[in-house]
Amino acid sequence: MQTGQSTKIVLEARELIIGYQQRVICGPLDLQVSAGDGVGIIGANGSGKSTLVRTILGHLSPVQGTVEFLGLPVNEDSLAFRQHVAVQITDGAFFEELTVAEHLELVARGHNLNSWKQSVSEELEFFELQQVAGLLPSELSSGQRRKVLLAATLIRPAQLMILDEPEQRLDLRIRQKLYDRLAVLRGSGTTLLVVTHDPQMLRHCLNHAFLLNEDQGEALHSEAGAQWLER
Amino acid sequence: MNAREKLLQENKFDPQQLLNRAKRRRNFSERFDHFSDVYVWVLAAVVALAYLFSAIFGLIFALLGQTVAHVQTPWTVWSLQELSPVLLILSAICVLRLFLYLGPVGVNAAKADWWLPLPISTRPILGRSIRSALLSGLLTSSFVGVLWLIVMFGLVGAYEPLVALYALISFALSGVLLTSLAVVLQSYGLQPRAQRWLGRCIVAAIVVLAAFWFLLQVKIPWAISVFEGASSSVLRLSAWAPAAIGLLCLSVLSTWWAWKRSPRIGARDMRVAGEHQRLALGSAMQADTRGAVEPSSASIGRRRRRGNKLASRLPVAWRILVLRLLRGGRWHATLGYLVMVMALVATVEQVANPLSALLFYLVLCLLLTINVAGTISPLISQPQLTQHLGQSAVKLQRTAVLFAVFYCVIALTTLTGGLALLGVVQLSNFWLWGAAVIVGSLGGAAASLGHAQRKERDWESLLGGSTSDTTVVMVLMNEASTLIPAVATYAPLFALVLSPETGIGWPLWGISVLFALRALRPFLGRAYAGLRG
Repeated sequence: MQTGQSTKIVLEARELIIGYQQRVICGPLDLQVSAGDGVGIIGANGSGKSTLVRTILGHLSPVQGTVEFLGLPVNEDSLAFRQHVAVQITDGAFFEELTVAEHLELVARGHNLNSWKQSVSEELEFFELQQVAGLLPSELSSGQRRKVLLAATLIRPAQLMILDEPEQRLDLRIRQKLYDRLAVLRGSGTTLLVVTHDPQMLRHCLNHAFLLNEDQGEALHSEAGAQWLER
Repeated sequence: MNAREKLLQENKFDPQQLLNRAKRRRNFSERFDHFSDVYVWVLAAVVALAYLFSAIFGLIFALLGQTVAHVQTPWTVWSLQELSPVLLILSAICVLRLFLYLGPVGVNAAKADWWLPLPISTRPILGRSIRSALLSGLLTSSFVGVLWLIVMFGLVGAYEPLVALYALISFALSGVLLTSLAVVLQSYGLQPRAQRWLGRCIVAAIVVLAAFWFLLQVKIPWAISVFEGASSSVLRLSAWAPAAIGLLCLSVLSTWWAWKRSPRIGARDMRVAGEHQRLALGSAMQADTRGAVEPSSASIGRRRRRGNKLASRLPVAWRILVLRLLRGGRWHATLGYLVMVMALVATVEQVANPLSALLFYLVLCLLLTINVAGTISPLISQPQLTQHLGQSAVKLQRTAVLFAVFYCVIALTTLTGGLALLGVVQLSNFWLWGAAVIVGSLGGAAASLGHAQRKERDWESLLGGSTSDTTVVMVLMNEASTLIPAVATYAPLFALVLSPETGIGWPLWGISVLFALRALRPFLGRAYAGLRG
């Protein structure tokens, strides 16, 4: 499948079979994502969406096939991968002793942002977390924790952004703000790969969908993907 | 200098700085809280060690059957002291295997999620992880060494400080050596293969031991001299001093090798290792073996066809239990223990005595409780399963109890029969023995039921919480209240082992039957509740 029209291929999976050890969940899948594309991975529960994301990230080995990022096999240990791929996983762990602001500082300084203080404050403002900036993770609600994870993904520069159901636990207003921002990011050339169950996200900030259904992957236009989610 | 090295040098950020800063800003009350948490854990560890050392002395006392007559079987060829070099080899294999399971280089979930994706040099992260792994290896091996020395000095009945010092240094250094070897194997991604090989090494050691047993049985002179030489040198300074020097050289070399290889350890390996370390720590702190002894999904996968025919004819709840037993390999521990007991009794001097028989029953009681609880737990503690099976919770509990009683009867009968065949116990009062086995099995079933009802806990929140020590004490007290009544139901068996001719007093029967009745709660229902008032 080819979802992108532009020439620069950011992510490519060939004959990819995903699963745990030798237990096959789904595949073979072919996926090609070009720079500036926004691809929504959709499918029913248990269809293998999160497993696909974990395989793309290198957290799981493919049962068969290859995944390449910028023409090289995916390797989460490589510097290029860590520099250019931003990831938000479903439920991340937190440092119990670090505040919300310090978690964002960790990512910003880790990515060598010169104006990290300003970036932290902008993200806190965007996600309306200023009031809780000095609180510890244990003092946050689950929605606030989710906002911190998203802020940490968005604070850093990235060529490819991988998000796993980012809409979960967000109120409608923040969700809309997030969609607007993702659309702007995609417009500026960032590639998005998003696992989602929200048709609105597909319509608003993505241009393609990749449907995992009956162990196969099918490329769809985002509108068709949104309609599949609404069926 | 390539672009990667340049960028890594430019970005000198060490994420540990933020954690250090967080530690520095703690106020007095938070520091005191932290200190008191550490203090309580250290105190608990010291108390636990004191109990452990006493238990070891008790174990030696029982195994050697001090003050009671022992039976000399025709297959006895060696003493406990002569077997001690084998224990050294087995303990080294076990330590290496443990550290291969633990990684040993790993990071916790927070570090895995926040540190590993950063485009910074992983050297500081790896460095800290390797240092803590080496320290853990040193402490673990030293701990094993202390236990081994206690056993040895207990057996010999003498204490030599200089030998103890050199031996302890050797154990500590061997811990560093084994951990750094585990780091090297981790860097090559060879842990699963190495673990399989170590398993085979244990089997090979047992085979060699069996071969030596045969050679000693037929009195081959060189075999006798090998065994005598090895056993007599285990507490000699002339053996431990060169060993310490050799181990020092080897541990320095292996540590350097591990350090050189460590950058090859990938983020995925460190993440998985961190998860294993969290499970192991949680299990150790709560004396909960479930995290460590649960069968792996890979081994269950290998046995996926086992028991198909047998289980297809059984009612659904029984089918679940039988398949869990067979495919999870949950009977291995019991069988392995029974075989080990028989081998010890048959071949080791003085072990064939009533005191050690009592000890074997006691350990079997604890083993069966944990073993059976692991098998029946889904029927007991997962209400959603009850819903799916369309059976009431009480009905599933009854099946679980029947299964537990059946399993315990088989295990206890095997142990009793084996000990009787070897002449350690006399089955003159056959019916009394039968009744005692049934009462003990009911007690084991009741304890398994209680143990299985312990719910899964969130280790992270428990270990990180300020009240973790109190919670853990409560958990341990619950565990004791489950196990002590089970041991009480073994009282008739203990009485028959120690004094087969005098029989069992009615008060003893009364107490044990009372505790054993707890297993019949699902059958008695309201009547039992009424009895309890």
